[in-house]
Amino acid sequence: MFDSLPDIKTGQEEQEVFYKEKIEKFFTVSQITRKIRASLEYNFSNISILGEISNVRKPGSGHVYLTLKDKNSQLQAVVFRNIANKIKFELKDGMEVISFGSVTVYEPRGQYQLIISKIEPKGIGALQLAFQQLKEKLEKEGLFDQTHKKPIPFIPQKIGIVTSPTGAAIKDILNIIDRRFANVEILLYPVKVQGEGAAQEIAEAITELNALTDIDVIIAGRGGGSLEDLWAFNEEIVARSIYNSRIPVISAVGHEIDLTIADLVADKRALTPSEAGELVVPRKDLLLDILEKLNTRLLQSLTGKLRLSKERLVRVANSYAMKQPFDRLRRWQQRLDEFAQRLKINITHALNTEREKLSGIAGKLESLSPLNVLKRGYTITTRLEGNKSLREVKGLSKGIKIKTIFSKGHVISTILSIES
Amino acid sequence: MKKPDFETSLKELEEIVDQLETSDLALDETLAKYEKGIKIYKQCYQILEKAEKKINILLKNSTGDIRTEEFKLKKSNDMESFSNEE
Repeated sequence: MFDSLPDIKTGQEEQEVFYKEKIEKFFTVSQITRKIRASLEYNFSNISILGEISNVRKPGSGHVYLTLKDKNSQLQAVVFRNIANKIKFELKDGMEVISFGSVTVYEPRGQYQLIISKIEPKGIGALQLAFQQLKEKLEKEGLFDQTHKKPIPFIPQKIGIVTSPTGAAIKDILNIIDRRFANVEILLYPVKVQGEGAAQEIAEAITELNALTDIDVIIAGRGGGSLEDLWAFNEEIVARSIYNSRIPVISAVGHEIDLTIADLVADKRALTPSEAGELVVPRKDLLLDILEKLNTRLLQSLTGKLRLSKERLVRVANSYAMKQPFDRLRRWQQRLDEFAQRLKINITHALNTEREKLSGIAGKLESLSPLNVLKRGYTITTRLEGNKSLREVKGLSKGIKIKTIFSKGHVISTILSIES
Repeated sequence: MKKPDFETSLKELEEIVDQLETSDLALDETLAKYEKGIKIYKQCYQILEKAEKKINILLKNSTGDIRTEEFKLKKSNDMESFSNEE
């Protein structure tokens, strides 16, 4: 349009005309911002950018703001909440990432920024990084500590299983348990084991089984699959539910090469679901065998002991030692007899002595008896009344009656005269 | 709900049998040990046999109420063909 301007004007005049026309055709800030935005979006859509993360901000909105930078430049970037929630690993300053997204302008501030729709750590898979980060974090918190691990009961009465009811794992587990220890109670808590919401379901199942009173052990797991398929078992929420479980948990995820966070937190890691079946119950046939053998030995040792005792009893009964008591008894009886005999003799002797003594005394007494004096011809005289013997005539007078006692019989007479 | 522990009981039974077999116990002691051994043997046996085979699946309705019903694996060679029947 400058071509139409008259050629006669000076440079200064030309400039003034130029500005005049320009100023008449102005944009508002919003208009130009929108134009800039459209231009940037048109040119810088769906691009990948390599850069180092710095200045990560995570406000309450759930959006994540960060700056991507290299040696010379910086680029503001944002990860909206719905995307941020899906990022498995944690965005941290200093991390080299490849961000995929579109450049746009935040119009209120007139700032251009990269809206990130996907972000990957450089040189390592996002999931591997997420695994490493969570492992480090939980390890620091002590979730893997051996001291926290609970023993698995030797013979559980009831087993809780957290897995898909249609997966390979439940079939393997049930088959093995049935083969080893069929008569056990099992409660299957069906969950999604992969995809959106799987981790929440698994964690919830473990927590809810803990609310039941009769579960002795929990198996949580699934069959093999890709790292993505197994991912639920690498989620923090599952790890925490296992850690907080008062019931011992056996993890049984995929194959031996698939080490998950759940395996690290679990009280026991089964390398496969089948192995979980082996870890959770012992082989009943072997236990019964051990038990029966012990029972047989018990019985044999008793009967052996009884036979031995009986033999010993017979032997002892026939032995000199066993007969001895009777001998001794007889000897004692003999001695007793002897003693009794001696005792009898002694007593008789004593009695005789006493008897002799007594008759001696009696003889003496006899010789002193007045009756004996009378026998020799003497008499005793008393007053008629009273038996005091009279030794003199004093007190007597003529006419008093007196009694004269002979050895046999007495006479009563009257005093005729007294001579002294 | 503490039940007599199988492993501990089995160990105790083994010790009793060993004692009966190796040490020269008096007859009444022998009988006492034998009786104890038999008691433990019965307990162990009971632990092994008391539980019944039962496989249930936990089901929740839309209001979150929980119930259980018998869970059956389909008798089939197809790994993915079993499910909760009925």
